[in-house]
Amino acid sequence: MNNLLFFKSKIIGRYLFNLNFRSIIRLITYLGVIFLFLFSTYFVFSKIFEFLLKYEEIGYGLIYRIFSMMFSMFFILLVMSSIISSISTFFRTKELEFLFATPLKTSSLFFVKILENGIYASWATAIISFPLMIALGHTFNAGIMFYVLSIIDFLILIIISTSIGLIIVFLFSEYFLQHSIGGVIVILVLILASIALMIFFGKSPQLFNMPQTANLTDINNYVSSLEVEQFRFLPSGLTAQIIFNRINGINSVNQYMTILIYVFITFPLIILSMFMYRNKYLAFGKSFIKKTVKIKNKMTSNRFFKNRIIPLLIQKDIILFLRNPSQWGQSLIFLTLLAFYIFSLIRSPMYFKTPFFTYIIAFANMGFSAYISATLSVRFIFPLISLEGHSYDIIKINVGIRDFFISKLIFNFIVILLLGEMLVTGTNLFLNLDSTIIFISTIVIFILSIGITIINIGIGSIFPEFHESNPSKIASGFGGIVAAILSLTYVGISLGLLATPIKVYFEYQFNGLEFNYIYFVLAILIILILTIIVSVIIFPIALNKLKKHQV
Amino acid sequence: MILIVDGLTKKYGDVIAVNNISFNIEQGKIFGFIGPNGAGKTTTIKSIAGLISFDEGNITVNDCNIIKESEKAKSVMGYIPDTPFLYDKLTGKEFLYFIARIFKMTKNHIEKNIDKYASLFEFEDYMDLKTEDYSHGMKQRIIIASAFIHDPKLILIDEPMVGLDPKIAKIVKDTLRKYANNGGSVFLSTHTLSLAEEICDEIGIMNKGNIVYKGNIDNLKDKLKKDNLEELFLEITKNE
Ligand SMILES: Nc1ncnc2c1ncn2[C@@H]1O[C@H](COP(=O)(O)OP(=O)(O)OP(=O)(O)O)[C@@H](O)[C@H]1O
Ligand SMILES: [Mg+2]
Repeated sequence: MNNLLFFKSKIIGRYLFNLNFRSIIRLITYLGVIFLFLFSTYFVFSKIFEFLLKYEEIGYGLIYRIFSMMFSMFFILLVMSSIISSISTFFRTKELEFLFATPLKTSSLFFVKILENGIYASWATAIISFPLMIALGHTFNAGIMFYVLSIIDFLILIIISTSIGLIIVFLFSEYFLQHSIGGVIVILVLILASIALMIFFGKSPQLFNMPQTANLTDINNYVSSLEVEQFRFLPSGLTAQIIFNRINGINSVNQYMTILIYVFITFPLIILSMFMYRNKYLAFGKSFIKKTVKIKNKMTSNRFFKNRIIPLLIQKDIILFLRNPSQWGQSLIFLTLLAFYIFSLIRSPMYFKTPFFTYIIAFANMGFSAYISATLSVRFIFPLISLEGHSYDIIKINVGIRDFFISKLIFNFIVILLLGEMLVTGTNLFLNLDSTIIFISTIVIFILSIGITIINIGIGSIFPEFHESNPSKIASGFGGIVAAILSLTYVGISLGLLATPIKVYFEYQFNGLEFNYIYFVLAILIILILTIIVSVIIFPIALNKLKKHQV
Repeated sequence: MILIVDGLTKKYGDVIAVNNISFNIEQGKIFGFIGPNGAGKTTTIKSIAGLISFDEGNITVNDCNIIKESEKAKSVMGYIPDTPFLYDKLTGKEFLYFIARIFKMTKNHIEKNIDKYASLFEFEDYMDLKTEDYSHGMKQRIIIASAFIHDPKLILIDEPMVGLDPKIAKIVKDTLRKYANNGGSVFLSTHTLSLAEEICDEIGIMNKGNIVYKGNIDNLKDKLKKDNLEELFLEITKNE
């Protein structure tokens, strides 16, 4: 029995089961909320699939395309989360220093850490993908074995993807752990390489540009091109194909063989990492600083906001952000996702101009953008308050919690807003959507960025973990799950409000009718009101909680 | 010799944190490392504990090379870092159990030692509370006990007295002394000169990565004709 594992599970158990009344209540609410979330996600996906299936000719193809695109996103999220979380899980904690001073075998340490890393890196993806798979099974009336086997397939996907992230960190740890430009270059090269691989391996369907005059053969061609897996050789594409084959009763020998190849490649590399681990860890200090350079003072007073506290705090956050590669490394995750997503779009036959299809694309695009912003915020914005733990006392005495809280909100709002707008506007332009939709998306993402920031900073303050220094661990705690569920629900409701206006808009457009923009105005107004309600509820609770909190 | 440090050099980029230092510790002796901030004390201790790699030199603990036979070397050491770590969701007792089990002790032996140190350092009352509810000094007592719990042959302590009240500080001092009298060895770093004077058999004064003096305190006093350790320290480490 692995001693370390035993105690670790005990510690986790402590978090969950503290045998007193309050924590039992807490646990039950916790499970209830998770269940509710899983169920409503399932419900939404089921409705979407059902709706698409009504369009007999292309419904199935679209379902496949959406499903496989989501899986590609999951794959990228898993790999990237694993990269980020393994840097802190394997290298940067006090716990490791403590464990390395004991005669524990490095292999058992590695084993426990790899489990931890897998959980931190994958839970956020898992809570979306399980209901997605169940909704799919339900739509196609699959038997019980479908669910069991598909979940196993997905677990294999998780293992392969998180291992890939881990291997990347181990192979390039010198660059990742350094405060230098080298890290950026390595990551950029990796991104470019993966894009090149995708172009090389991805099978390109023909592009169609068919207005209303399409004939039956065209439609058939189009439909079959939808069902072609774009990333057939990526683990995500393989898993998606296996799951759909299972629905259709086709065997997936080829796909399983390819998965096996992945296992055969990753497994030895993981073992290699295990052997490298001790030396990598010990040398960690050395690679950390190549040169001790004197840095020019960037904390000098700012001409525009002399002696104002909030700009000062934001200034500090910006400096810390730029000096910490694991922070802006996170923005690179976003870039990779973007590249992947745009690539998916290029390879999708999207010039099929019917109101229905344009509607699906425009809406799905907004949905993806919002979903990505929400997921990334939980991972990266949510832990920020907790990470401030060490300086919290100083801030409390000298600055005042309110200013501190507001500075965090403003800084992160700007970051999320920039990323979200870049994503949605870029892809909208790329998709050739009209200016109305671009305008609407811009406004919606603006409002959603406010809500997402408030939710994550707010919940981050309500459930802080000031003693923890590992951001992925913080994001995986109770508060992180609450923040994830709230953000996704909030985004889901907002998008739901827009669904009908956008659909009607396209129908009117294609039929040459005059659309009444009041529908958009109304929907956006309701989203705004929702955002205000969320903010008005969360803001004071969070502030109070922070004020009362003692480190 | 329980510990042999030979020509240890550690660089951080172009900063030489420890510059070719050598010293030994005999069984049953307490060796105190004193020196100003940034002298290289922590770096030395971490190298001995097998926590960082170093550029040159050899470290041998109980005849085992710390790099080549690290598990064996670590199994005879107890280490207390300058900023210690505790699992905040474990109780103090569980934490001690955890460490003892890593060192593969039997249950009876663990119970016996926990009882012994719990009454010695006076933490029986709260050892079944989660450590997140402890004060700084309460944590420090558990951590010191954790270094003793597996009956190591060599104890490494970086700044042992931080946060302890005078009574417990005295007990820790006495325990270290008794432990050394029974054949254990201690390597400690400190800024508390009186502590060094009271319990160390030998001291090393470190400055900017070099050992500028090594030996017995009385000899040093005779040599420099000062009998106040503080003055001695300032004299030796003053910037030329
Ligand atoms: N991780 C690191 N990266 C770069 N330089 C480091 C690192 N750790 C220590 N140093 C440098 O090594 C030198 C020695 O540091 P060390 O921590 O050993 O000093 P110390 O004697 O323990 O000081 P103190 O009394 O303050 O604890 C210092 O110049 C410090 O800047
Ligand atoms: Mg030190």
